[in-house]
Amino acid sequence: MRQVRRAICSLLVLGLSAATPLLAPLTAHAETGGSTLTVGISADAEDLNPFKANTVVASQILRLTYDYLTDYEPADNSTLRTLATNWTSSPDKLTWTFTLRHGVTWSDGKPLTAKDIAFTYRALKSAPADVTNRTLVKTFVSVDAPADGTLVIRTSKPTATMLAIDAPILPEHVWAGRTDMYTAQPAVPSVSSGPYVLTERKEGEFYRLRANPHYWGPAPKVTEILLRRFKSVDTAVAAMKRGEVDAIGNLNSVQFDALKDDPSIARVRASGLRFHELLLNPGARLANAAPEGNGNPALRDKRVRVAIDYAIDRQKLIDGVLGGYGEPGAGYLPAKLTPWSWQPAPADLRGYDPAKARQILDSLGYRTGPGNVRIMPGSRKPMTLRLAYTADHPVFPRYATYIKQWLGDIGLPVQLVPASGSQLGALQYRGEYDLLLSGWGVDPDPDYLLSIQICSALPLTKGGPTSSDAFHCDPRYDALYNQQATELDPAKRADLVHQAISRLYGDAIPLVLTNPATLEVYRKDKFTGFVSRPGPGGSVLGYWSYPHVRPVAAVTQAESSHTPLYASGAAALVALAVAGGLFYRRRSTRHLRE
Amino acid sequence: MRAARVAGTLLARLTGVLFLGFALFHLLPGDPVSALTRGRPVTTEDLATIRAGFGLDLPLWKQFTSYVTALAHGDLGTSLAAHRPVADMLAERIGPTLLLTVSATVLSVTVGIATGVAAGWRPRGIGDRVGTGAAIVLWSAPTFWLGMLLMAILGVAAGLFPIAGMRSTESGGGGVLDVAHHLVLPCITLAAVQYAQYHLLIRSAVAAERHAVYVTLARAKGLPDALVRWRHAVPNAMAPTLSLVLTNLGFVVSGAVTVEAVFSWPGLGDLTFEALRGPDPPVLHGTFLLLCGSVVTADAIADVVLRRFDRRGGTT
Amino acid sequence: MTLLELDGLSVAYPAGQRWARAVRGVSLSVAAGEVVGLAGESGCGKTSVAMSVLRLLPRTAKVTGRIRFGGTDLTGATWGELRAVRWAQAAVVFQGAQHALNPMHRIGTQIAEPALRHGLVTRSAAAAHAADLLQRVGLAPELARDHPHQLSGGQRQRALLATALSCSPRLLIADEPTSALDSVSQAAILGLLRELAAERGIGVLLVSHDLGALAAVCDRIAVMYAGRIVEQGSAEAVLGDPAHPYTEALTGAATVIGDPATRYAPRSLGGAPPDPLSTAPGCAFAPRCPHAGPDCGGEIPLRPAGPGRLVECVRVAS
Ligand SMILES: Nc1ncnc2c1ncn2[C@@H]1O[C@H](COP(=O)(O)OP(=O)(O)OP(=O)(O)O)[C@@H](O)[C@H]1O
Ligand code: SF4
Ligand SMILES: [Mg+2]
Repeated sequence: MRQVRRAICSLLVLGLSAATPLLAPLTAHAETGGSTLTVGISADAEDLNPFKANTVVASQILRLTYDYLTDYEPADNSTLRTLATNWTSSPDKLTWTFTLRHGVTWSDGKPLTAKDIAFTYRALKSAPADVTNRTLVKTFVSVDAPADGTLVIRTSKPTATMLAIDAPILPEHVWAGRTDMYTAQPAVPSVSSGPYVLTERKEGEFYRLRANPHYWGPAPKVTEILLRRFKSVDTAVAAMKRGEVDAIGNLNSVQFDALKDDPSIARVRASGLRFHELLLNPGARLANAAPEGNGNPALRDKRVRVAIDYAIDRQKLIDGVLGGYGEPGAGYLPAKLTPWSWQPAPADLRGYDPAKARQILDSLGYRTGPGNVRIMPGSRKPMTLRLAYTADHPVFPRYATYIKQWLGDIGLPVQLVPASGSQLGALQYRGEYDLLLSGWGVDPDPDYLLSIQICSALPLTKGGPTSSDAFHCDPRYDALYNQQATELDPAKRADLVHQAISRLYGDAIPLVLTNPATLEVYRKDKFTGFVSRPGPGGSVLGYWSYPHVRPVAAVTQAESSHTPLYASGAAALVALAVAGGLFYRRRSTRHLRE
Repeated sequence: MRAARVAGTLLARLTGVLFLGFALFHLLPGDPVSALTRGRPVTTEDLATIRAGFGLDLPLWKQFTSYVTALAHGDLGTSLAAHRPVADMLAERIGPTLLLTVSATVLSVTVGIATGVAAGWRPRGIGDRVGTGAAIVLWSAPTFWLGMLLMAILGVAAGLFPIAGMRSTESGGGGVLDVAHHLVLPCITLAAVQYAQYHLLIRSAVAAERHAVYVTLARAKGLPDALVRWRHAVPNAMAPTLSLVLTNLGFVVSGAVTVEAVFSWPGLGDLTFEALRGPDPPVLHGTFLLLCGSVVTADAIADVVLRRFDRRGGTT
Repeated sequence: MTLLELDGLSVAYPAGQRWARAVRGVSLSVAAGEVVGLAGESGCGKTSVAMSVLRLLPRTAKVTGRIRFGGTDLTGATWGELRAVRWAQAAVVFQGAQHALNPMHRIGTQIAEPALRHGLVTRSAAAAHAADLLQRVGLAPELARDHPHQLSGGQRQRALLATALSCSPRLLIADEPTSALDSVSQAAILGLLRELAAERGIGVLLVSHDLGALAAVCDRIAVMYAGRIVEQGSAEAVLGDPAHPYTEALTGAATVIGDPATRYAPRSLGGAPPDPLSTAPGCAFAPRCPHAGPDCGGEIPLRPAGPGRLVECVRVAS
């Protein structure tokens, strides 16, 4: 009896103590010295190992804390001189000599020299297979530091990406000789040379970066960057209204539109460096040409694929799916990606023209059978095309609905195959699809995205791993790809890239549907000075921007939590309407599979 | 003897969990390595090497034996995404989840007992109508909806409580009061969802005990109503409640997934959710083992505790 | 001095749209120092009578008639007045000792609880009080620390009796207090009741289906059939010379003392008691009565048949 009473009493006491926070005075948001830019992020960095890190957040953190040999000029994508201030290549194009910036030090005060860079690249070169960044140095034969300010790299063949070695430079005195080099996490605070130092890391909560007093460049205006994790954009937006977050990226169009009338919030519609594509299975095969998968044989005919392209109304997709925030796609790389992008001349553009699509199919002998369903020549079976896509990301199911409608209209009924992200991956790599929706984010350098269309990316064995995007294989494309990879003259390289992309367009295997805009918001009443990339109209939330951001002068700390009730009510309604539309995660930094 | 039986059952169930965990995440469609390295510059040969490195190219039974051996050494594998030991990642996340679930359970049980007893003692009375009505509404409301609503009202409009995270991000955040302050909304949300179960269970248990002979005896003894209720009826009604609390503890952890997502609470639910999107099978497997293991273990504990608690277990 | 006086007591339980009339106008009194037996077949309404005294019937039960205890009318008593009477003045040994004890509490706690709550013993004296009462009912004081499930059926019944004696009541209502006991223990408990009545002047209403047991201790006996008392009088008179045909049958049936089977149907009687829902006029026993005649269908007068003796049968000459 007494035990029971005691149990009940302690339950009550516990209950009360659980309720005390309700009664506790609210802790004020204390402003510490300097200013903090809080950016809402949608996923964790997960792994910050400088060799292996590959998430968007990790790459942002590494870019903000470490230096790279070179960087990209936000305005025009040209090479930005960071650690390397000058470079020459030998006449045989195999030896590169970099002149390094003077007076760069690590955040612990030790000097950063060519030896650190050589150490980093050698470590990368001898890294295990799962350190995917090692492909950045795959052509390197030797890396030497003849003087503190000079770095010499010899390559086995001319390498076009020598100014795009996107690997952070590590302090040799911290990383050398570690057995766990390829898995270790940077110490907190990190020893690094970039504008910021990682000073606190709470996985699932936030990453705190503080200005690096030893940074060689202009001192950042905001002394602290806080990358704060939110599991949904809606929560992040609510937090922004409460004044807890200053900037959020990757909103969907509903969330973006809902903030239209907020006078304290700037909305940025960044023309996206990403694209959504419809892959047509061209008859998947292995590297040894053995057939793979079970794609519909009709799609092996380029003319059928072209007909399908004519049936797609891209503007409708942008309006209906992206809320108007996007550009129609055509050439493989987004138009914004100068100088690499190539777009078809108006005469060659396959615009929306269902009559033409029908006419092509008619001329190929695809009769229309009962119910307006076409029949492949030499077959009796009515056509159906399976369209695979992931339901993890809200836009793909909606793309699929439209495409099903349009292809049905030209006599090609579509069967929808929704799948989880990993299931879709499996379907794609095994070639078990007819049509498949996918997407990529684009890096400043085009090499990787071009490489996933070459023949040697095809799987070696049945069901085996592949880095091929869509079983595209064209020897002439491969020749162009290999040429551009070794072309050191940017203009000539761009020309080769253009030729390759135009061939790719002709093959109509990946059909670029849209270049979705990236929707970003920030508190313009608190911060200003954001830098957009690429060029005006680009994204302002990224490592290239934060060091230039500064607090709005004499900010009167008007607490934004005085948001009128009705506004919050509206926000709540919007939040409810789109709840569940969680941030989708960007898996990879360099390129985005959506 | 009984302890041995409980231990035996527990062991058998844990083995079942082990098998299920392996099956679920190793036979799942989709190739984690391809999914993981998508969009990264890897050659086809590299991919094959990585697969081999994870042992994914071995026959299934070999994967299973090495998995069991590793598990026996407390090794839950390495996350494909974070490249860190899964055990470390779980250890990092279990604290916040326990804080959330235990406080929410205490809150919901306390409130559930108070309102459930009142409702059960006078069924169909006004207290019963209001309390049980509220419980049913909360029970049927989707968790995220409730969370968003609380967030909009108490967090954004009234500005009383933080809406995300478990501590302030200002340096020096994370004190007891600070965490408690952040805990309020997620705790209330989770408690509100579970509360109905406790309310309804206690209500019906008390309503049944009300007619027990010893309750009439207690009344005959001339005890005031409150004593009859709290000394005699309620303790007897507590046995099924205690069992629900204990068996629920395991489930509550998984039930916290939504609440953790709504309030960006850095717990196991979040970890699971992220691992699902990867997919990151070792992490999924780790959280699976932990969640199932806790349900099964909580059940065994409930078994033992209840036998001690329920005096009626002795006869018949 | 008359302690308890029931006058025209009726109890009805809701049964769907109708009422099950379990007790139909019972008048009975118990004086201080007197042991009154209440006998009758299972379901005839004995417990309903016993529980109505302290108003322990479920809220849904409809109780009419008059219940006077020590001169005050309990039917109109407030909850406070009632609580004061409960246990301090009158206590009940519940039927069904298996379920009457709280499984969560120790025996000693349960026994001492009423005395403690009524302020008759202090918290520190409570344990000694319980031990004392346990000894009084013939149990080892060590049992105080046990929980009900650790006791045998007989021990529980004694513990219940000890609980009833906790406040030294003036009236003890014992509902089948010996049904789970062997004949030796039964005799001991009955002896104790007798003693309580004789030495302390406690009035006892002893409910039992077991006429043999009643015969041993009762001053007076009332026999119930279908919610009515069909015969009452001194124990010797009622048992030695039953006047009502039902009592006759019952005494014939009760030759095996303590045989539980007799509880359910007196052997010499065919048929079963009437449905408590029935509202048929006339003698309820008529369908089973060997002496029944056409005149048994009308109003049956309650007739005195000797000193202190009342019988409800047309065949009985007053
Ligand atoms: N709570 C109740 N609700 C409805 N009917 C009841 C209730 N309690 C008793 N009854 C009915 O009232 C009648 C008399 O029951 P009661 O318990 O008073 O009989 P009893 O003489 O004590 O029988 P027994 O010897 O079996 O204890 C029975 O028909 C029974 O079914
Ligand atoms: S009144 Fe009639 S039926 Fe009833 S007991 Fe007497 S003789 Fe039998
Ligand atoms: Mg009875």
